Amino acid sequence: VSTQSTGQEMSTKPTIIYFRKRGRAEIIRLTLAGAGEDWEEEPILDGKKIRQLRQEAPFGQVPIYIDNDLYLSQPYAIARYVARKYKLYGKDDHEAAVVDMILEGHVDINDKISVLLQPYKNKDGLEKFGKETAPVWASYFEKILAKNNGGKGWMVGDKLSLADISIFLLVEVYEGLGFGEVANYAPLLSGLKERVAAVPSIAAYLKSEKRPCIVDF
Amino acid sequence: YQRRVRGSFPSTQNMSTKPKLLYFPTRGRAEIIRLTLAAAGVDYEEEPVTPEKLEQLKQNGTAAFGQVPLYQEGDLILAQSVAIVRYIARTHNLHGKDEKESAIIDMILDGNVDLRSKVIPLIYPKVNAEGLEKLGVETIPTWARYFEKILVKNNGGKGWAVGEKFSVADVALFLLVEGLRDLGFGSIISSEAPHLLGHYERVAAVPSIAAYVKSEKRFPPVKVEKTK
Repeated sequence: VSTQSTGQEMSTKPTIIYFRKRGRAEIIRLTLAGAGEDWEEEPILDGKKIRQLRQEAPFGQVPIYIDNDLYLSQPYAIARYVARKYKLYGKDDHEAAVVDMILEGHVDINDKISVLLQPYKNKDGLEKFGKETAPVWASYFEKILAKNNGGKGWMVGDKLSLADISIFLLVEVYEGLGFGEVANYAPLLSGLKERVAAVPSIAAYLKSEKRPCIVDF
Repeated sequence: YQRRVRGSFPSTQNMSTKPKLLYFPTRGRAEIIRLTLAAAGVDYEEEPVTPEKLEQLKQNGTAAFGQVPLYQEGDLILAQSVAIVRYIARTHNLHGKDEKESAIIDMILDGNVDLRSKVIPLIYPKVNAEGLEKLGVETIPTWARYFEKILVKNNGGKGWAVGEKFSVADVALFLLVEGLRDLGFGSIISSEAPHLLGHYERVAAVPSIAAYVKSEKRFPPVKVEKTK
C-alpha cells in the first residue's frame, strides 16, 4: 500500500475503468464476483476522459484493469487473469484448455450478435438470428455441458469456472434479446445459468447496486 | 470435455501417440498453431480437411463448434485456434513465468485476433484490394503503433514481447508482421513500428521457427495483387 500526494492510502483492490454499463466489462465483474473478490469502479463520465484513456490504453481500448503495477486491456485477457488468480480456470491444463475453448466460442457468438446491435439495432437481423443461428450455437455449448456429469454440474470439471460465468452471460444476453425460450432449446444451459446465479457471491453481486443497469452489449 | 470419439478416425491412427492438427490445407487460422508447435518442438501430424471431411466432423460432433482447426492430443479434442494455441503454449513453457506475464501474453494474443478480424474479411473469400488499401490509411498504422508501444515497454523493445523469455506472444507478433508484409504493408511497419520489425527478425532467427518457415510443409501465403 502506498500513499498518494493527497495523503490518502492507495487501495490494494483492483480497479476497473469503464463506462457505467455492463458491456465489455461485465465478464470481468462477474468473474471477480465469482471469486468473491472486491474491486473499485472508476467510471468514464466524459469525452475528455475517454479520449485520454484511448491514448494510454493498450490497443486504445477500454475496459482497463489495474492491479498494482499491472495495467491491462482486452476484457477476456483480464477475465482470464482474474480466473487464474482465483482458481476459476479448471484444475489442470486439460480443463483450462476446455475453459478456453468455451470462452472463444462465446467470443465468436458475441461478435455475431454485436454486428446486429451496432451501429444500430437490426431488428430483422436479430429476429432471424434468434430463430436460426442462436439455437444452433446454444446446442454447441449444450453438447459440451451434457458431456460433463450429464450437464447437471458445471461446464468443466467439478467446480465453477470462467466457462460457467461466460455461459451465464450468454444465456442472459439471449433472454434479453428475445431469442426464444432458452429453457426449451437448451435446458441444460438454462439450468446452469440458474446454478451460477445461485452462487452466493454472484447472487450478491447480481442484486447489488454495483451491477450496472445498462446492458449496452 | 470430449472423450475419444468412436469411429471418427481409422483404428490404426489410435496407435499413434503424436498429436494431430486438422485443418484445411492452407495457413489461415491454423498457422499460429503450427508455428507454436514448431517453437515448442512438438512432433505432430497434419490431417488436411476437405469440405466433405468437415461435414463429417460436424455431423459426428467431433468439431465442437462445427469448425476447424481441431487439435487432438490423446483423449483431448480441442476446437478454437486461440484455445489450442494457449494450451500448447501453457504446456510447453511458452506462456510467461507468472500470472502477470500470462495476462500480458493473453492481451497481445487478443489484440492480434482483433486486428486479424479487420483484415480477414478483406482477404476471404476473395481479396478486396480497395478495402485493403483503405485499411492501410489509418487502421494499419494505428495498430502497428499499438503493438510497437507494448513491445517497447518491455526492455525497450530489444528483446521478447513479454518478460525475458520467448513466448507465444512472440509467435503471434511474428505472424502479424509477416502477414502484413505479405499484404503490402511493409513500409508502414518500417515507419510506424521499427522495434516490431526488429522483433520480427529476431523471431525469424529462432532455429525452430526458421526451420519451419523454410520447410516444404509450409503452405503458401494469400496472393494479393498490388493496385499500384
